[in-house]
Amino acid sequence: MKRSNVMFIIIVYLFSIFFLFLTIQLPSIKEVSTTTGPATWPFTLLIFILIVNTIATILLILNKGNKKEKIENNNNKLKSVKEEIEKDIEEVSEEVSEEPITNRKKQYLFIIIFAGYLLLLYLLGFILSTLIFFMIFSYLLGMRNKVVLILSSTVATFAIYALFNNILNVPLP
Amino acid sequence: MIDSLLNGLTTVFIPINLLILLIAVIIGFLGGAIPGISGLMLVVVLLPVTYGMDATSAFMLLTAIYAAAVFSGMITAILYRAPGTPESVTTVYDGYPMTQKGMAGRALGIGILSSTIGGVIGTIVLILLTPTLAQVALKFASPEYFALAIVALTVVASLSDGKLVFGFIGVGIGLFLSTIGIDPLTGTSRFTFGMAELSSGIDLVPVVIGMFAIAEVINRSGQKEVKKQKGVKNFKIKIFELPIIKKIRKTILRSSALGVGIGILPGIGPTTAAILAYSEEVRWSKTPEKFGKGAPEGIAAPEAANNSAAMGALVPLFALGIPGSATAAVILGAFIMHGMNPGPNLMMTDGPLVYAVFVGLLVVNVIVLILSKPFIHIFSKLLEIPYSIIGPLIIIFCTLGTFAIRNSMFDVLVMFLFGIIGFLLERMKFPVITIVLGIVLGLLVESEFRRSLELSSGDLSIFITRPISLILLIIAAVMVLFPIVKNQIKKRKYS
Repeated sequence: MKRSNVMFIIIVYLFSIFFLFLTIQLPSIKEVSTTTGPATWPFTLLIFILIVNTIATILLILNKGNKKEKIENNNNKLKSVKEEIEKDIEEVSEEVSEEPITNRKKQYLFIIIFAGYLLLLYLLGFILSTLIFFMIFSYLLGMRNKVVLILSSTVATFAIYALFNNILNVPLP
Repeated sequence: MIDSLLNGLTTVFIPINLLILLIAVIIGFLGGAIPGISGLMLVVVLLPVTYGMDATSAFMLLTAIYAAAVFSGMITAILYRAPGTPESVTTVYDGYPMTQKGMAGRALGIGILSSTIGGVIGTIVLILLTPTLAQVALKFASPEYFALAIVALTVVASLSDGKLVFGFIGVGIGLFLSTIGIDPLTGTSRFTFGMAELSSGIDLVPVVIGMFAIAEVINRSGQKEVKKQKGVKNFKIKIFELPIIKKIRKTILRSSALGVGIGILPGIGPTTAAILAYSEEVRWSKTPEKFGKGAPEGIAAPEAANNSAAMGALVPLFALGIPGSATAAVILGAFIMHGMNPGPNLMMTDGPLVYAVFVGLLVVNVIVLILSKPFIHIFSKLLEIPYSIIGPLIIIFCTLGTFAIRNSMFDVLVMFLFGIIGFLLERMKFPVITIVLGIVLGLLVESEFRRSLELSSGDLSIFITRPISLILLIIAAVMVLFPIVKNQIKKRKYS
């Protein structure tokens, strides 16, 4: 049972129940001039989400129970297929490049830094924040060459500024 | 229709529009060819930028980028075994082996030819079928629109990529999110928590940009840089080789037809079309062993299909206001953003624009053909720019673009939040496109539902007593049940 799946289902439950509570507080059908009030549709949707979410929960529990049976069946099939696969692996292993390993911490760090960029953007405006953060983002994504970092950041910031401000006439933060 | 087309022609050939088409093709080329940037992403990122542009030019730009990006995905697929866009994933099977045998030039030539022909066939179908569908559509009133929207929602079944339950939850959430704001029928504020920014609801664009573009950059920040492939030597790209053309012409025609058909079906887009076309070619071939080792048909089939499907996906969009693919869904958002009413009446209210777009697409296919050679040569050099520079560029463009929609940092915040949500959901392999589907169609579904009930004074049977509405609802039911039934049959087969 994947932890993320369970988390998701729980969050969906919380989300729906929270909004269901809010929905009930909306003006009811009697108070408005139309046949259906503002609460009808959201209410229907939330009930729908709750039902499907419950189905998901049931499926999840069922799958957990079936796992042992499935594993035994699969083992038998796998033995007969194993030889074929081994042959294929030899052929393919020369071509295949490394499997990407995901660095979770880096991703979370990236999110935090991005939040920082947005904050700074709001406080300091476009040019300053972008100059700083372009380099930080670049560094995070692997660029180590200092000259390239500074150069690309400067060029990009001013190029984008020119593009948006002058050519496209789009206001910047 | 000829008049409209000629009108469209004159619109397209205004120098500024031609320039826009040219730029669009270049952008589409670039984006489509870079793995990690797809046509969908480009359209999403440039959507807010088009806000200030004249509507006709904006749509020519977006659809042209869309067409060009589907085309260029094959470049890196063939050269580096790295599909630039999902639509070209099957092209690697026979494209890359050809490169390995030193025939990269021929492979690219086949790809270019197939894509162009596929695109032209698709555009012709688009031009011919759309008015017809539009005429039929004028018979629609609120109940029919609601039923139609339900049909559109059922594409959640095929978009869910096997996780039907999640797909439904996603659609439900998307639909719910679209209720946030002031209720159009009664004027009550719903779920706005007193925030003025929320009174017009959650804007679609920040959500889409966040869930796709931002989520992807966040994802990439945790990945190792892919090592560069072995250097690709200089080669000649040959497009018009007669003996090869003779071999593949039937394939191209078959796959284009298949592609358009699939593209027109809402929810199934160029990617599925390419995969299906390739597998059908293999299935019906007299010499299936040659596939996977550099068979020309193996490149021709998916490339013709994905381009024709991309055009086909625009048919339901222009005729009925239903997106035929994920990117078409974003373009639907663009219609709404520019204050237009996508739907059966679009041909009436904005006919000149629609025809200008059609002609624009035809022209785009020609431009693509002409520009392809030089572009590919330049591109092999651009590939040297590392993601560590492209990544930040994407972030900045997205942030600025989102800010530009309403001059609002709030939207940027929404983008950021949905970026995180999208990132987390993608990790779970949750089909996030279903949420987008829900948001896009939410307003339509709810207002038509409630208006229908106004018409019938609360009688729910109005949806079943009207024939067109009934038929559509039955289609919707079938489209939802079909994959479930298919899955059950499959499971029984294997046990």
